[in-house]
Amino acid sequence: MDKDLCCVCQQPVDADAKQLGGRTYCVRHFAKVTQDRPGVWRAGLGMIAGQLGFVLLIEILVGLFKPAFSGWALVAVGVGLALVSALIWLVFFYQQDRLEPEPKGYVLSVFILGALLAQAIGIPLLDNVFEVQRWLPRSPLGGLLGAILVIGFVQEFLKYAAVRYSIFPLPEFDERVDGVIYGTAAGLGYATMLNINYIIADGGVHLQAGVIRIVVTALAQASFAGLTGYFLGRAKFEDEPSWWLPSGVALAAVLNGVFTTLRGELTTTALDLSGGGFNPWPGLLLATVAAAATFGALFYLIRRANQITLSGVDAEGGAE
Amino acid sequence: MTAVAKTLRRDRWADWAVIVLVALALLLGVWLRQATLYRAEDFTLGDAGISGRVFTGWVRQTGTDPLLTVRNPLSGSFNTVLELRSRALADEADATLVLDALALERAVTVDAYKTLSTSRVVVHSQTATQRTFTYVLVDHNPYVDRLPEVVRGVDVALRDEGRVIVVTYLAGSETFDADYRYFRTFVENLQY
Repeated sequence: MDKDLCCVCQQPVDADAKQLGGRTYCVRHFAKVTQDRPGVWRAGLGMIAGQLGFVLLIEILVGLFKPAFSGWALVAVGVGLALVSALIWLVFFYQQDRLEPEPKGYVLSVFILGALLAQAIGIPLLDNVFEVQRWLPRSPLGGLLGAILVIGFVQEFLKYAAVRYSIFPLPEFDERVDGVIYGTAAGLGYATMLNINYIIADGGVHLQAGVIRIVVTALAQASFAGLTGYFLGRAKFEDEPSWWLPSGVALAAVLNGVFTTLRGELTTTALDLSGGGFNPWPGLLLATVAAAATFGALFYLIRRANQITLSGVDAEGGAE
Repeated sequence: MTAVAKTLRRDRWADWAVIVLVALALLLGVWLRQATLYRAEDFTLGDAGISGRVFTGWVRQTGTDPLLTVRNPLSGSFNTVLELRSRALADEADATLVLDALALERAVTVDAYKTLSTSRVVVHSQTATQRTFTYVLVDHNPYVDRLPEVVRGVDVALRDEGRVIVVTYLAGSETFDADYRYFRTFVENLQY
């Protein structure tokens, strides 16, 4: 009897039901699982381009008008920048995904959940319990390992949990690519809260350097969460072994840790009489490359998985 | 077992596997943190006949008084400091005399110096005298923009034949409690 229900909508299916990864699908949901949704990828590309454009716009505006904010005005401007950075993806996403949009409420809920988990667990755990700033800079190898084991695993697990224990079991999570969409939303929520904390803790932000930091955090957190989301999407719709999901979280944690360490190394410069100490531009380059490579790889992998599934259907009239 | 039941079971295993993996990673992280923060190396002050362990990565300076100063360069705006002194003192004299002398020396070099408490503690199965104090660190350099900082400190006077060894712990008021473990470890590893 179990085999007669679609694993997504739980509705009875006909005898010619499709099988994929040990799960049964009705015709409609089988078609959904295997669709490419190019709009999602254009939104990803648009997000990267939009973030870079956002940085350039702020740099130009600050260069032209030289605004002199201070106190709460500076904090408010910084928080505004952090929110705009997150909104860029959402705007691109809904622009590109108009034909068959994900429910706005769910995407927004996962975004907020990512932010709440960051504020309630992630940031206090890393700052107050593990006190990463006290010991990560002490040695290059220890710093890298610590960034992976502590920062990487805490952040990636929380973003994974924001998707896995909210939208993942629901019928709305009905495509392979949904993992990437909701993962990215959780990552951006997490990044937004990190950025708001950074701005408030510093009592505002130097606009030109701050906007780069905000964008770097958004791009990086969204990319790594998108990667975890890819593993979630395949775990739900394919016959993946039990180690598949842990591998996804581990891979995202390793990339997160390596990125955190590299960003620290690349953006720290030697102090001299003319100033220095921090140059944010290499961090932006690194985040752009990481985001483009991650979303490019995910696009290729999901498209290939869909093609393999569909070619199996064409050849055999079913898929397994 | 049906295919669906098998799939659900595998999903549950995958869930638990993620949680176990993250827990293992965090346990390793805790171990790495402890190993990094409290990794220590041996030191010997030959003339004074004192040896012990100091923390790796701390800046070390030897002299006559204090004999040894170690400073944690990564502990906030005021670097946590451990100092070691040796002062001659007759066996029948009270170790508090040495702490009083130190208090007088500090009172003229720092701002708002204040002794908080004096008590007896047990170190290496012997009774030692401990004094806590506080002062305000003010940078009088007119070219440096630095806010005054409240510093908390502890002196422990350890009796040895004909002398007192004083271990001093200084930390900013915000990091005092967090860094206190360094002081305890330093004192516990001291040999004289």
